[in-house]
Amino acid sequence: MENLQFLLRQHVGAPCEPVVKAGDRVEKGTLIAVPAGLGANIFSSIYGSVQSVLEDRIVIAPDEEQKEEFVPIHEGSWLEMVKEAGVVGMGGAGFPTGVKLGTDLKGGFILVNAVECEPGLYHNIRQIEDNIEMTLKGVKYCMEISNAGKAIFAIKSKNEKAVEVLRKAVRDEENISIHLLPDIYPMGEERAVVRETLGKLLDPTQLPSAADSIVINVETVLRVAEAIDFRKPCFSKNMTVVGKLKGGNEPHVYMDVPVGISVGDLIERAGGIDGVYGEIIMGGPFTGKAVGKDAPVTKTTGGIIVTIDLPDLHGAPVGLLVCACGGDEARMRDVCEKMHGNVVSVARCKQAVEMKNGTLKCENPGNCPGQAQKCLQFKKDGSEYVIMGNCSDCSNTVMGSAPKMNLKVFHQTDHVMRTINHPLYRRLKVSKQVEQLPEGK
Amino acid sequence: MKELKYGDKIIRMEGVIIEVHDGCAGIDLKGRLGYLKVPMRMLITDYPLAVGQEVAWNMSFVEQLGPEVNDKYVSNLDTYNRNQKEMRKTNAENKEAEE
Amino acid sequence: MSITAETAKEHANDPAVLCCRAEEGITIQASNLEDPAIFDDLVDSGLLDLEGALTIEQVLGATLTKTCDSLCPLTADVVEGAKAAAAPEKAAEEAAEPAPAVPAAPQAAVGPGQVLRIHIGEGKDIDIELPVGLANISAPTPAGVPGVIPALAADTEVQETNEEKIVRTLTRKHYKITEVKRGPETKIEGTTLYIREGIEKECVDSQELVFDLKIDIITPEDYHTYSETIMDVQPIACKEGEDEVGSGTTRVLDGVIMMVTGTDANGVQIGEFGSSEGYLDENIMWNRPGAPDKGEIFIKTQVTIKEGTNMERPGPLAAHTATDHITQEIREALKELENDSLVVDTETFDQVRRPGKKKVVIVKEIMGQGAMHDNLILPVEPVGVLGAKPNVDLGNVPVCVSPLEVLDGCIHALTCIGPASKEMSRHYWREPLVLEALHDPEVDLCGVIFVGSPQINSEKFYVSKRVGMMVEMMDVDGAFVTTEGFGNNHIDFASHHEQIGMRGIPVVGMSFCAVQGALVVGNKYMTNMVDNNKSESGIENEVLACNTLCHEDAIRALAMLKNAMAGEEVKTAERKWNPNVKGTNVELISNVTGKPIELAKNEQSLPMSQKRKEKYD
Repeated sequence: MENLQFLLRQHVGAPCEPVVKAGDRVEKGTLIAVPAGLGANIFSSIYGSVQSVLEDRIVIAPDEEQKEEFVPIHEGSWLEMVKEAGVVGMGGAGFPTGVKLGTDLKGGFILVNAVECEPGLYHNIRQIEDNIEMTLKGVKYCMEISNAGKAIFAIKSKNEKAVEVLRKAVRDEENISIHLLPDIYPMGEERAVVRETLGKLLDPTQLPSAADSIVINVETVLRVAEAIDFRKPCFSKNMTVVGKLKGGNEPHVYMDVPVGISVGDLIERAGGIDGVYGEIIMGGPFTGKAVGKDAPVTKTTGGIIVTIDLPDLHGAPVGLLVCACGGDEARMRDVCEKMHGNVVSVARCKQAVEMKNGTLKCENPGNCPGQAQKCLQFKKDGSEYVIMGNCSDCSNTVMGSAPKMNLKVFHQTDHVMRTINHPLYRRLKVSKQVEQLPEGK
Repeated sequence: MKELKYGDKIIRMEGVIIEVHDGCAGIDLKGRLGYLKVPMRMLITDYPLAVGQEVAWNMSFVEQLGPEVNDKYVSNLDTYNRNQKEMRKTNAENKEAEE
Repeated sequence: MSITAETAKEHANDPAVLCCRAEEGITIQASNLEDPAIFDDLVDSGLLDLEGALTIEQVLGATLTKTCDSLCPLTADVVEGAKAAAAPEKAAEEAAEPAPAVPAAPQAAVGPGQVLRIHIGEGKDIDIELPVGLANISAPTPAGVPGVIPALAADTEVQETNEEKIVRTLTRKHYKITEVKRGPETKIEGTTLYIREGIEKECVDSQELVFDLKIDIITPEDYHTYSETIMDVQPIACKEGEDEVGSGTTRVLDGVIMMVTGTDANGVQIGEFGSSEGYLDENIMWNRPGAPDKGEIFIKTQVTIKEGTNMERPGPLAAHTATDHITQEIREALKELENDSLVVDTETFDQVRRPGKKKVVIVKEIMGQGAMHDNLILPVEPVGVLGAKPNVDLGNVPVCVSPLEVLDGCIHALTCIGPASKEMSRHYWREPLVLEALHDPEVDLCGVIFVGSPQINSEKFYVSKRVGMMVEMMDVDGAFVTTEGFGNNHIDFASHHEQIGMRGIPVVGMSFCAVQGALVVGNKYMTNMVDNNKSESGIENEVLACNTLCHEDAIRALAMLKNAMAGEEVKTAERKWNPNVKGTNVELISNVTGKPIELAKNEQSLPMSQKRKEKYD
């Protein structure tokens, strides 16, 4: 096993401050960094010794032998335990859960995000199928801590088995129900979940608390239960490894992967890369980023995808349609560069609003505001190709105009979709409406 | 007015300024694609014009509006060329005489 | 892109098109609809066929009966519960209705001081607003103000300020010329003008760069004569005694004009772009303000300048100066005429100020890039050379002149390129906008600003900022900005709008635009535009003065500015040039004012070149 790397920034907020130094012995569950401002504790996920403490990470050399036991966190109130365990939003956002659950919902809603919207990822659904008991326990803890009156599971109807498991589990739960979602992207965005389940469209600057709710990822719920029941610090992550791997492109779902392990290690565990590849993406196809093999897994890493090679545009002029649902402009440019395209025009979806921290949020996720004008811009600027990062609905709109203007369309996720045999994001063929379960059960 | 068939095929042209006069500038199109002389008002300039500056503009291809020849222009051109020829000759003779 | 409820309201009568895929059963809202602003582009790209589409007004609130994709026009077969189609006829009715109200019962319908507003709701329309009962329009409703004394004071003040004030007067004495002959001396005898034989040599000798000068006297029978590029058309006029340009008395010859033409020594046209060389009768748009009138005699000089100077600044200037040598001698002869027995007509121009009326200024952008892109400002004699300053040498900064100075030939224009849109010297002599504004009892024309159009952008903004400051100091209620150019001239043209508009002053712009001169830049103040184009296909053709500012344009601009000053908005222009907009507007103005407006003819009225045998001579 190679050295493990613990990034000091695995969450929203400021980087943590290390509390260990080179040469220190650490055990599984040893606190190694504490928040400076908004943040969450970081724990070692292995037995070993601190190799070095760098500006942005702590490097730990693992012992040959690893035990199952870990250093437990202190007893305390449930909220205190969640905070001490360093639980953060596992869906990718990384907001400290202890802070989130500190809100008094006054009888409001816990919205359990089991949408797993990024195509290719399976670990959330697998968790429901395999470990519903602990998951449900976590939901109840969350409701109790934040004084919520109800909880709703948001899950795509296509996950029939998981939905069945869920239905069984909540059948006798008075305050817990299920809301089914269509299989379009994005449904898992925080405000999309609020809109779909509660019927309230929030402004990009508003938090779900504006609708008396908290949106919490289904894995985060599990970590909350573990922190309270087992006094277990948050140092492991459920993940999907998928792509151009030896043995095929079937997804490999790993539960409780130690945080800090390298992408390369995990890929080896899944069989290793099969020949020539395009990119290694950490995260989902839409919002993930290309990384190297030595990049470490963090508390928010959901997927590792090895893609096939990208097409070569031989320097053709390309228009980029940047949107809040897909990669940011830097990521879009990255994809374009890898395709040897020449960016001549960049447009941003009308609904993508820039937040104070520079990230984009969609005003109404998954509902297109029209894209014809953007296509006209690309045409005017001399583009031959369009690379878009849009959601299902917007992609459909782009397909309504771009090809007629002789613009060839790529989606930022095309190479991933081809790798995992998923339909490309082009025309929308499914309805945005799904039939709900009777009374949400 | 006849619509252009290829009017929307806009291509970027680049050129080099090779002549600057008070009233016009001459531009060689890069790639031996021709020569363009335009009056000042058709140039949008952020800096003083100088020979050797590179310029660019968009243009589409030149299409004929029809097969007909407009006699008026032919006539004007004939007269103009004839006059020019005569005047060049006279001008040259005058110069010789002066010397 | 999807639109807001507000935009939907503005475009209530535009076709309704889905911006995105929408599913069966939804209630159609503004956010489902594409912005009509881009329809033209979409139709051009073949993306959209608006055939049978319902209007936005009709579909809002209706139910979609079928799942439709983006850019799908909403037609009756996919929409349930659409409102009835009443809208399309509305605009026309609106326009037609108020017009007869004017002669019908003005007193009963509207009280003094009120205005009749006519709003026309289609295309790039003008809103027309006419004061009814002209006497009292500026009285700020004194009756309603509580307290007797202020009301009285206001009343008297209004009466005082409403008096017209004549600042100065210009008299034009017209002398009729029916024949132009060569003779031993330059003189006017009866209606015959004699030009001294041999004067050509003096003209040539006066200018180093001029190699040769020929005088042709062109009578109407000779109109079908080949000519080199026409560089200018000038009135022949002089001041009487010590009078200065812009006041006193001016003597002018009727029935004859000066025409400057020329080439360089190698026969290359001076200003060789879009030259109007060719047969005179095919290349002149008769009776334009700047052009010769049909029937006039031309004293045409054909100047030969040193080879290669046709595009340098001194070349065209030399050609003009050499020609002016002849004009000056005619002026001297004209000055010598002792009694007024030869005067056939006397015209008087009063420079009137109308305090209390809306104060307006005319900003005229003139060429200033150099060479033939130049104008001589304020010569001693009307359209002379002596005493004038080239506008390029003045740094193109704005220069204020009185309306009478404009009409008295304070601009000597060097004109070589863009013959169709360029304003000749004669244009200023008969400038329609100055004349209209000066004679309009509803506005107070305070003056005219000439501003040059330099080549480099930074210089353009430099002079434009001066225009802004100057207009600010004038405290005007409205401004016209005209340009005789296009291309880079539109950059400062736009900047003038901005500089004036940002000071809260309504602006109306006038320029040749149409197809070829489409504005290259724009800003939010450029909302009121009058296109000077007259050519059939909207291009800068080679016909002299074809696309210059004419009477009909002046009327449109004046109506537009009055509306702008009254706070009315002008509808957004159609995306593509549509000559019908102008036709409709002119007709509507004419309906309201009761005065027919005859549209100027264009190049289509000129003889076509079928019998062109001469060229084979």
